Amino acid sequence: MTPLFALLFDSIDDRLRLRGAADKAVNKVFPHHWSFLLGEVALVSLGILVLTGTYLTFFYRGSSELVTYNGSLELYNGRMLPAAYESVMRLSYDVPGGLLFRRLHRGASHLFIAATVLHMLRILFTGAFRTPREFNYLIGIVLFTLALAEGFIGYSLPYDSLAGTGLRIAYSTALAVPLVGPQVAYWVFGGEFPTGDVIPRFYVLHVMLLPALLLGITGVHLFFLVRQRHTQFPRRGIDGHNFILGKPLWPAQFAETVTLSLWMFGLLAVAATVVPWSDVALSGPYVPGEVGNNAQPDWFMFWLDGMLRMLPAFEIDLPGVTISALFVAGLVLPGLVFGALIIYPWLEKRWYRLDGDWHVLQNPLDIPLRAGFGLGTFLAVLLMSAAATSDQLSRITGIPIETVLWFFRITTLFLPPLLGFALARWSRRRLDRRDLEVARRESTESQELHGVVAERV
Amino acid sequence: MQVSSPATSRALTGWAIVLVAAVAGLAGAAAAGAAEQEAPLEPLVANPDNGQLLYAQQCARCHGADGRGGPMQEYEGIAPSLRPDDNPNIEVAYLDLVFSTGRMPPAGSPYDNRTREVVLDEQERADLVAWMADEFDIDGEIPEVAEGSAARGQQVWNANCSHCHGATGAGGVAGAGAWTPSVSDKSAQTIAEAIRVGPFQMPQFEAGQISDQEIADVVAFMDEVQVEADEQILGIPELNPVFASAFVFLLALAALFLIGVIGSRPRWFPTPPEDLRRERRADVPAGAQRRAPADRGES
Ligand code: HEC
Ligand code: HEC
Repeated sequence: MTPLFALLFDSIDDRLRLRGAADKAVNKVFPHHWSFLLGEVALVSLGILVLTGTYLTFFYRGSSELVTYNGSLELYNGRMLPAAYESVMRLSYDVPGGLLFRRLHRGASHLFIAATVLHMLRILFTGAFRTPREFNYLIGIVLFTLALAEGFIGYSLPYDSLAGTGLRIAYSTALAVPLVGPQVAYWVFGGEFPTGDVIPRFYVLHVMLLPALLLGITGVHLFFLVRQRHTQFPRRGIDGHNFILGKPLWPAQFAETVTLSLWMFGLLAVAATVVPWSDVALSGPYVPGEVGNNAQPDWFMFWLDGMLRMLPAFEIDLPGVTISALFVAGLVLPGLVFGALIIYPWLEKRWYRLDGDWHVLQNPLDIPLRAGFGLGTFLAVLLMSAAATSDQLSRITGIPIETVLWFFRITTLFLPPLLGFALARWSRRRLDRRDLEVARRESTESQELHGVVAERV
Repeated sequence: MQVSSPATSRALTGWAIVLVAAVAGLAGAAAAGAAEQEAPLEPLVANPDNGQLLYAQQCARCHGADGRGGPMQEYEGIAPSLRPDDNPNIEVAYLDLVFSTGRMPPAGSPYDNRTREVVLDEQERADLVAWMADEFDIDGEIPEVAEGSAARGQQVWNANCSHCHGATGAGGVAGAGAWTPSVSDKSAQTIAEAIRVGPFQMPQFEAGQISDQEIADVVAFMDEVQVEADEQILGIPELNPVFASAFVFLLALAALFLIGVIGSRPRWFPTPPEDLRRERRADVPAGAQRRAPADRGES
């Protein structure tokens, strides 16, 4: 270091006394595995989302009032459009780099949620949620929920025809809640949909409250991670419970993270150039009652949409309450899946009567309950998601859409439990076989020993 | 110094071939463009005799030699009559529509509207229409389309068509077994014919519902969609969420590949494993294995 810098650092350190803490931080150990980078991908995407999103807020208008568009897009020049949509058109066609930033933001949001899901699956299947990390696991679920909410609201903000349709379905779902539905819907949407209130409200949620929560809670998540140390995969010859093996924050982990970030920027830039993620000029602004038959939510909501398509449109009138298909698909189902996610660590603990701390990761097949229940539930969600694409599947395969839906109804009902039980059984067998082998090896070893001894004697 | 080594001359030959091919390609494209522009200038003279022959070859086996339809041999079901006296749907525009979109004669099952193959060229279409119109007493004419405004067309489209054909006319599903074809790549004439005729499961729109001017507007809007599609690198103007999800899948795969590469240590971090730092988790008694009691403390 040049003397000048040394002097600067010394004088800063004299005042702030950072050296000790910094040394410690720099030597912080990071275990190494590719799947540990999934969380990092999510983190970097979140950063990109904040940056690109900030640029978008400079131009976006969170209102659905009608205003006149005067811009370079021939299609709308001189036409009255909802302000949100109008500003999105200006962003896309008149603001330099606007469309690129919109697509980057959209692509990063997809990557953010996808990486979050994969990260969550990694945590679930390798058992990183076990004591002492249950609390951080719950924080992770909160982050996931926030990410989904951000994603849904972000999809609504351009107020194009798909966005408006999504909002209308959200409104109907709120209405379908027994007893309190109308009040909840009124409270969220400020009246009967379409209202002028929903876009401004969602805008504030999208750019202030939810990002603040996301960033703050991510901070807590990371603090817990550092404080509790990272888990690691088992390694021969290393007592993973007492030692953690990895590379230091500086320089190896830092270099890795920077490399990853730069590649991700590149990947997203290419994706934004090639894929028209967020182009909505042709679909047009939302007009109540006009819905294209290509109305689907974003992929991370497919499972709810798929469930809605599979359920017959029923309504059960109980005294004082009405239970409808919309309520079941839109709220009961996610409630069940999230409920299962939340209680799972405690379920496993109960099931196998575990206590103590666990720092070494596992193969999911070593825990039959986890293999069966986890992969079964995951398959169910996948099938429900696939059901949301029934129209395109029908068109591609030439199978009538009703048949496609029946296929998914039956498979969603039967395949996941079948797979779950089969996996659980299979992994139990696998464990039994292994135990047997260990026992046999031990007994032959002792026999050999005896043989040797016998010969000697 | 040797100027042209074998390698250099090979490279030069290669470049020469590339250059010639590029020039030839450009010239060919220019010629094709010119040919495309010239084609409509030739007036078509319909030849009903050829039409009769075409009918016998292409249609009679299903719709019958007399055009009254009936049970088909290859497929289950009944081919409809093509005579206006017992099938009032039939008009000249309908015939032209099914020929120009390749819907009839069908490429596969006549009930599957997804597979299309246009077998009749413009001349043959005119011949066949002329003969059938005369023989079966079919009325009507092929509509002409004026200039329209894409902006109004979008509104007409969203109000009348998008719930079956999708917001950008990419097609989709309009009911059991009724797949909707893409519209944005169709000619003005085809779109106008479809609106007025209402082919198969599609409803018919009278002039009271959609005026001639509005048809022109819809055509202009579909042209706009096509222009937008041509400007995109992938040729898709706007993604519906299902196709977008396929791209998300690709993006996620790319990200997984990325972390797979970055995460496979030796390539990016050539330090040997001995260099990995060890950090003691906590003061746990040596030998304590997985089930050790709490060790949440700092080292
Ligand atoms: C493989 C059998 C087959 C052949 C060959 C065939 N068609 Fe058809 N055509 C059908 C069937 C079946 C339908 C009814 C389809 C439906 O309702 O979905 C039909 C429907 C039509 C219709 C629409 C009738 C209506 O009421 O909507 C027209 C027009 C038509 N065909 C004309 C022709 C012409 C002209 C040819 C010859 C170039 C031809 N078809 C060749 C089987 C055939
Ligand atoms: C009820 C749903 C429905 C509506 C509304 C509808 N269509 Fe169609 N349309 C169809 C179906 C189904 C077909 C395919 C018919 C067949 O070939 O079997 C079709 C075919 C077409 C075709 C012919 C394309 C081809 O390749 O055969 C065009 C063009 C077309 N529609 C344009 C329009 C326009 C423009 C509108 C709005 C004014 C519209 N449609 C409204 C269902 C609909």
